Amino acid sequence: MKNIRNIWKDTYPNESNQDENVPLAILERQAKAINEDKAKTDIIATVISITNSTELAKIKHILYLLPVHGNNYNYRFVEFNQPIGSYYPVTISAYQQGETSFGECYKEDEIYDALEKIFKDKRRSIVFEQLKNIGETVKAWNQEKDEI
Amino acid sequence: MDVSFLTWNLKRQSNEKILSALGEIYTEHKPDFLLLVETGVEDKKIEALANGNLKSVMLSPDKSIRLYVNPIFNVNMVNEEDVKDGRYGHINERIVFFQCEIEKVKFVLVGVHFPSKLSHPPNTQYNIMKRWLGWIRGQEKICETNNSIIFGDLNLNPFDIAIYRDGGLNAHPTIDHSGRVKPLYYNPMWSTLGDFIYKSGEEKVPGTYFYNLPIDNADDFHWNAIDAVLIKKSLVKHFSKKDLEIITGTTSHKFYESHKIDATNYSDHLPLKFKLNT
Repeated sequence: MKNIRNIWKDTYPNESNQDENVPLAILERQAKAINEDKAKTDIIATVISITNSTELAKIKHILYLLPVHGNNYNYRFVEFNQPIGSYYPVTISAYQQGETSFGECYKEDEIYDALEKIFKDKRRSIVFEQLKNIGETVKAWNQEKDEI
Repeated sequence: MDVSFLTWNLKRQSNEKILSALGEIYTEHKPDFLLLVETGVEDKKIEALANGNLKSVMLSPDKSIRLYVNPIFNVNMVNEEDVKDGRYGHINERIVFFQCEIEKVKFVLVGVHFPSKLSHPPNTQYNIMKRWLGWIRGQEKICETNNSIIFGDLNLNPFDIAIYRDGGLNAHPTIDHSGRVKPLYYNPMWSTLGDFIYKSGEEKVPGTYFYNLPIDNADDFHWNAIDAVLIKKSLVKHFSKKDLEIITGTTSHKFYESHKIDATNYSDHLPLKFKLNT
């Protein structure tokens, strides 16, 4: 009898063999790092992936920042727009005012370069400061509510 | 439990007449949620005319879209996208998100003042809405719910592509149809079009906004139902159909008379009210 081939296995690589450095993993790593600094900044980060029913060819990964005491108050900080089915090109945008485009990346190093520009941007400290203030305001409100 | 919601675009009017009208609206309708759009009225004035039964849940004092809530409800502002987005610099984003929980029913209330038809053609509005929908989904995920209610001045009629087509809000006059495209939102505003109530023949106002159409304009309409409430499919069971109302006046104020909206004394939009039963 002939040897029966496993086409499924040939076609779809085992998950564990996949490249770790996919754009989403890079963004999640930044969120993890922001969370590690939570005690200093009072800010946490979460990454959410969203598709649109008419744009199934694309997926968005968004890194939101949230003040620790902000009742889920959040700021859309960094967006990766990525095709489904391949990792690149990734269109990167960040912040919500002024220049928000941080270019199109075709490889891992370009993503790191874009993220470096985003994190070195002078708007970063303004955003973090404002979110911290919001967290403090909400914390004060909650204390007031508890006292009532 | 009945929870009532009311919205009104004030067109920046803050005169004594509109304040008196807001006071009577509060007395006669007792909204638990009051969403004011294009408002310049100070929070303390609104809180005073509701005798302290409504409290602002806004963080920023200068936002022109503001929500006031009965303090018995657990409501928090979670995001305000009122910024110029560099990718679409000409559009002043006006979308505010609140996390709400009423008797264990959790939802995101999305207060909107969508970019106007007058400066944004239908396809531009559709593209903006696609982006807004992504943000709405993001807020639903952060708040750990699939439920959302979109409320305010949508600047869109029920049949406009940004509100009706898949990819836009995909909001339909019924959620129960068996077509290929499954609705995402229920849009009860379809039932507000026309000048009489079907079958009963009772006269009614034909929309929430009247546009004095230039004679050569072949794209727009005189009467529009552009102030709206859209309910996510999963929440429709809580929507009270009989309580949807375009408010045309109070005991001593008439916002709509002789087929005209009184934009001189009040606003060129009419207030809109709805209720949820939880």
